[in-house]
Amino acid sequence: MNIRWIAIILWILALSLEARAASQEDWSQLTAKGRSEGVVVVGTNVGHPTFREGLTNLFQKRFGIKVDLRTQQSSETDAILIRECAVGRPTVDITIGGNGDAVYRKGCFAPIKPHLILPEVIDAKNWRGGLLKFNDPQRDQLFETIQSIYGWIIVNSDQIKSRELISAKDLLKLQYRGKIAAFDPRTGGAGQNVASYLMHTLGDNYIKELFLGQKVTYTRNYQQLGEWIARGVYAIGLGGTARGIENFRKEGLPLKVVQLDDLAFVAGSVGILRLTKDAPHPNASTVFLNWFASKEGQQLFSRAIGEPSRRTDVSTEGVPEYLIPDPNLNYFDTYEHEYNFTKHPEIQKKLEAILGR
Amino acid sequence: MSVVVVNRYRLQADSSVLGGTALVIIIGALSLTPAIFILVNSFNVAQHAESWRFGAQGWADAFGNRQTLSAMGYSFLLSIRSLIGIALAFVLSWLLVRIRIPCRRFIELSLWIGYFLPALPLALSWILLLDGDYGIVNRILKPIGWSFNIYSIYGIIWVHLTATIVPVMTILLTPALRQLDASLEEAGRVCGAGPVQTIRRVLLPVLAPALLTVFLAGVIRGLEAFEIEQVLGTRVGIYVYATRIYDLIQSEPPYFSQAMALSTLFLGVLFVLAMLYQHFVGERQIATISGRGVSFRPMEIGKSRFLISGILIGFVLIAVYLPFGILLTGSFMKLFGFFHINEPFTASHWVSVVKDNVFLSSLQSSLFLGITTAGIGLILYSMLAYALVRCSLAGKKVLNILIWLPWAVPGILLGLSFLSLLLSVPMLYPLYGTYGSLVLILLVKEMPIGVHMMKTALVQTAEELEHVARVCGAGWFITYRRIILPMVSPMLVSIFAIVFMAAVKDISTIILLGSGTTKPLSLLMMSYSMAGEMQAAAIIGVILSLLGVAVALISRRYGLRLGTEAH
Repeated sequence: MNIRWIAIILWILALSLEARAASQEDWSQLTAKGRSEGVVVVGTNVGHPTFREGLTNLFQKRFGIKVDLRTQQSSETDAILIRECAVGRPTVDITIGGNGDAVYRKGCFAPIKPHLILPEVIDAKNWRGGLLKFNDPQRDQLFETIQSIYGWIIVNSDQIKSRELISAKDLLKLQYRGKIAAFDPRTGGAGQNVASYLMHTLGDNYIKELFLGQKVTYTRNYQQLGEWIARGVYAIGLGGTARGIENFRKEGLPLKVVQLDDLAFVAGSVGILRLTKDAPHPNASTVFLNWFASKEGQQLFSRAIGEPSRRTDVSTEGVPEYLIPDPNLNYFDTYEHEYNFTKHPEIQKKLEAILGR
Repeated sequence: MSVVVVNRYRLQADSSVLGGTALVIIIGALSLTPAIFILVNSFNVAQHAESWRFGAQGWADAFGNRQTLSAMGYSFLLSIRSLIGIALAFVLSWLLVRIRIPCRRFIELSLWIGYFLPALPLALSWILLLDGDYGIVNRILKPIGWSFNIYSIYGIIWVHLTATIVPVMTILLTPALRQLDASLEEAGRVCGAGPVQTIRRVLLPVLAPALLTVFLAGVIRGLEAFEIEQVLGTRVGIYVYATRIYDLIQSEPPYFSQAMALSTLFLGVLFVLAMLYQHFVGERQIATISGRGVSFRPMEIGKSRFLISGILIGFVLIAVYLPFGILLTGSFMKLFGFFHINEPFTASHWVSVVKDNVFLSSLQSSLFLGITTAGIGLILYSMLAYALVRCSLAGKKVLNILIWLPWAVPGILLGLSFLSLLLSVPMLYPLYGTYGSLVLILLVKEMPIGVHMMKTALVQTAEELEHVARVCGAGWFITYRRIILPMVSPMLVSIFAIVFMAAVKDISTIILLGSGTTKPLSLLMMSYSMAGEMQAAAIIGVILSLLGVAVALISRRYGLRLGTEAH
């Protein structure tokens, strides 16, 4: 009996070793094919020098595949993808950004899931919540690699004392009228995400009372929003981003991040990985996809943009604590397909009707 | 004999019709493509998986929005800056060229520097100076009860005037004034006219083509501007027409049909302005350089020259060097404008920019793009202008209007139309992602200013100078190269510098057509800006400006030497 069990175990081990050897051989073959293609074209709105240099030093040197990085606003990348897709001449292999609704709806993305082959990538244990997260209804195209908490507000700590603001309703207090600034919620960005979530949870009247009743001042520059709060020009800021405020926090200026009890949601930020349909360099793309989703790729990306990866084995050192989701809490996910593809467009229309555009 | 003469005339007439038709077709194709693209796609209301669906919903949504009317109002209100700008620029140009004042080279160079500085970082510098709460100037003036609010219509007009309008208009008007024979004004004075009367009754009519061209350019460009308005106007609810177009394109999902419907209004406005321009300028030719002998001697005005020089130096110190100084200081700060933090100054931003592994390649890319575009542009624009001024072409009036069209199309939409063109036309596809596509689109974009300013310079040059050369046996090309180009060299220098700077600073027009191998400094600046590295972005802006100054100095030295030899 014991010998039989030993034999079975040894057979299973042999199979797994063979599978591992086969998978390594597949990976080697794949990287060789990728190298012969020579380049992978990646479109992104992430322009950090750290990310660019990391791509050269880590990915290019290891795999011998050049990365042609095209940094553009999301809308510009989407415009290129849609037009290239329409004539069947894609030049961009992979894009990293938001969900890319407009491009997704035109059917210009290809499934990523079949291309994920590295064991450390497909092992669900390595990802938060024990799953690889895809934001499209088919669950195979829009691969979310970054997930941060949003909805936090920024305050000037000389004017707002700690625990003065507990919930979103506190923002309606008369003493804050004329003292709130926000990233313009009428245009795409963190301001609109916050306003959409508030409308979804607290309704139309709240939006009117907050943005119109409290005479909120708008800006379309994240740095400017951070600067206004740091200088005390305004006491409260809505719709900020980490890159707009971290420099002020690091210098000890009186700018604090406050998490309201009922204003916290998660979003995939700029970390959604998308593969273009009929990508011109398919093997190089597959290599890049797997590398980007690996610990090394995610460590580089997370550190470059200062936001937490969904991978559980990637260090959050250098990531502001207010962005890191608590694994014990359930957050509303604004990048999930039902909200993002269906509810959010309806909410956007209502926001436009109330706030104008 | 008479048959030969008739045949020769018929051949010339046929050539003129053929030549004119060919030019209309080529220029029309380049100018009309973006315009037609916008018009047609303004009626494309396709959703999701559809590629095309005809509808007028885009128009209804765009013009039915209450913000649109308000934005239109603000845009036309802010157009007043072009009127103020042309008046200031004319006075400045006249003083620099027609009066002998001390330090005029320094003043002129300062205006060139002002033009080359990046507009958005300059706006941030002005905020640091004139913000109502923490502006440096306002804090100094507070004890005497004065305060300037940069977040206002006046603030927007001020920044535009100092950052772009007055410098560029002066750069374009000074060559026209340089080509003015001083004896025209002397004749006025001899007849008893004072300076104001001489300007009003001699100078202005003679310079009308140049003045109207520059004014029209200012109005059109002003309608397209939105960066400065976005930074200074959002806080107080000032939104301009171009901001709305930008918003619609940047939305998620983008509202292209609405953006294009709004852009079509630009086309209409430009068309009307171009027709009015054509009506007032028409075939008017007032030569200010002829074969009689010319004088370019500036006037002597005695001790008043020191006062005038002082005023002009004061203007450039405030308008150019003050914000530039803030920008330069800010680039050495940890946080732009925060003087009170611990160890506020650092050179780390400069080090990180220069050490960036793409910095050198981006610099080379910018130089190549700028020099190629400006060089080819100079040849093309001057030849096109010559054809329009000197040749009897069929369709000249149509051509004059078509040449203005690229300016009616916002940069991003121009890029979108060319992207569609390159992807759809097999013969053009090889250009996609190469410098060729970038140079082509930039040549089209700068065609209005290049051609029309060259025309004003050629109009000021008498035809008899060419006739003399022909009589001496020189062919067209030799006449063009050895007589005409040296005569208009001051204008050539200005156009070269302006086209060069437009090419190296441009982002919105080329962003959709570039690739990883064609990344100039302007796109690197945008990368830094998107990464929140505003100091690094400002540093790139300063480097671009220094690049522009260097190119302008070299081209000015060469061009003016060419002009001096000719005169």
